[in-house]
Amino acid sequence: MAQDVVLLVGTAKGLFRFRSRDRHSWQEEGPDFLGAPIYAAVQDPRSGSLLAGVNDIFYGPSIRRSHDLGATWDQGGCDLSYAPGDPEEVLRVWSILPGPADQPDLLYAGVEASGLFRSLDGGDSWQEVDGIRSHPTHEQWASGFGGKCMHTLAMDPHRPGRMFFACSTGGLYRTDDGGNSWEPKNQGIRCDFMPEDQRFPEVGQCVHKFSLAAAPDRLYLQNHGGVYRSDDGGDSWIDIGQGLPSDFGFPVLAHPRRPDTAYVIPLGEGRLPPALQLAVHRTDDAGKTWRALQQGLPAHVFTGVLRDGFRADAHDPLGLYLGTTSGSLFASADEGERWQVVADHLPRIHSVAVAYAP
Amino acid sequence: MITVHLPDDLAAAFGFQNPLQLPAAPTLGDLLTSLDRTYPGLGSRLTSADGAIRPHLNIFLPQALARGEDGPRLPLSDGEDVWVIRAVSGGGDRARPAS
Repeated sequence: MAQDVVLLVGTAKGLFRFRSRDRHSWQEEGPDFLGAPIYAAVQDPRSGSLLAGVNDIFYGPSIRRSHDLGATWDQGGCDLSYAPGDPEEVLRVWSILPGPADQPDLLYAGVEASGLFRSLDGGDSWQEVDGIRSHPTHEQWASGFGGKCMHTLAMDPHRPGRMFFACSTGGLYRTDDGGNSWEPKNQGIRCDFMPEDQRFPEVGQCVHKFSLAAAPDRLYLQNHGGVYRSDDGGDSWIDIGQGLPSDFGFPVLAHPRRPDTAYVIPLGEGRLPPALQLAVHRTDDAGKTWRALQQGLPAHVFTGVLRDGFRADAHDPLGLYLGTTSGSLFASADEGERWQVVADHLPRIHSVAVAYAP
Repeated sequence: MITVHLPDDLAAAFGFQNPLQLPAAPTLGDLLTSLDRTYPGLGSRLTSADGAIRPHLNIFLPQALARGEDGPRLPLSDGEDVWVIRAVSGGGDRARPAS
């Protein structure tokens, strides 16, 4: 490997970094922003800079930038807030998405209360994206236990102008015109928390996470109950959770090269791992069957993995990384077959992301 | 002049030594505006978009405790000290105190 892998670990009390050349031996760096909850930290692949959503309890949310892989951070840009008098307030940053390669200064950020911001100057200033909180379905959005958050953003690499966001509760939305108009794409996704005759609404789903697969128009989705696949860009969804010990969970991850392969981390009663065995489940046939991968993951655990606590790197074989709510960080360098502990006793882990360093 | 005492972590982040000396201002809100002009971005750390003092901060004036949306309207006089102090509410992860 020519580059080090750097894991960006957002926790309830700061951002931690772990660096490795071989994906087996890890060195801790940082931490940064100690005491501040972090839900999103990413590397901008265009510049190599790091971006972190810092949700300071005292001073409010900001998106900080580091141009030296975390050695120093700036104070963030301005105007990451709704207009004065708005009935909603920007409370936390939940997701950060760098724009396409041909727009090097374009960034997106999803926030709580659910809304989307855009920066055209690399994060110096932010503006709310129109047409989302004014969408006719917006009044049906509500707050899940984690907050009313826009937690997942993705650009479709196969279809220019197509972008997705998901919010809880609210559901999945798609634009095909670069963000000028948005449509809910939740047909077939079940709401277990609604009465029997109202379980398939247009919006209001508590989508926990979605992930774009390597094939055009294929997505995987973990709902608040139900694991789904779409082969038509979200226009329709197929329930693929039957082979799992529980179809409840938070993260879902599509393999970056194999469109039939995806990963979930089921949680059962009490939002704990089924049989208290922490396990990643993988399908290699687009959801027809699932296999538990747990070698090296602990048994008799009272923990979970949150929606952004599970990520892959870009290597072959695929590296996988998961962080738990009880502060353990695990890594697999062989597509999930075997796992090792990277760190224990961290704060509650909200997010894991992969960066690269020379 | 007005002497402003800010939390040490903010002073370190924005690169100044406590306390700050700022020109006299008729209200706390005017003082905060002046502070943000001097150190761009610092104002948004202390107040939300609608100008209210952030819920986990207390700003002490000689005769009053400034909080919320009414706090910035409090009057100031030349020569006074203003203390910005983090509230007794750390450790959680909610930007708003539990109601």
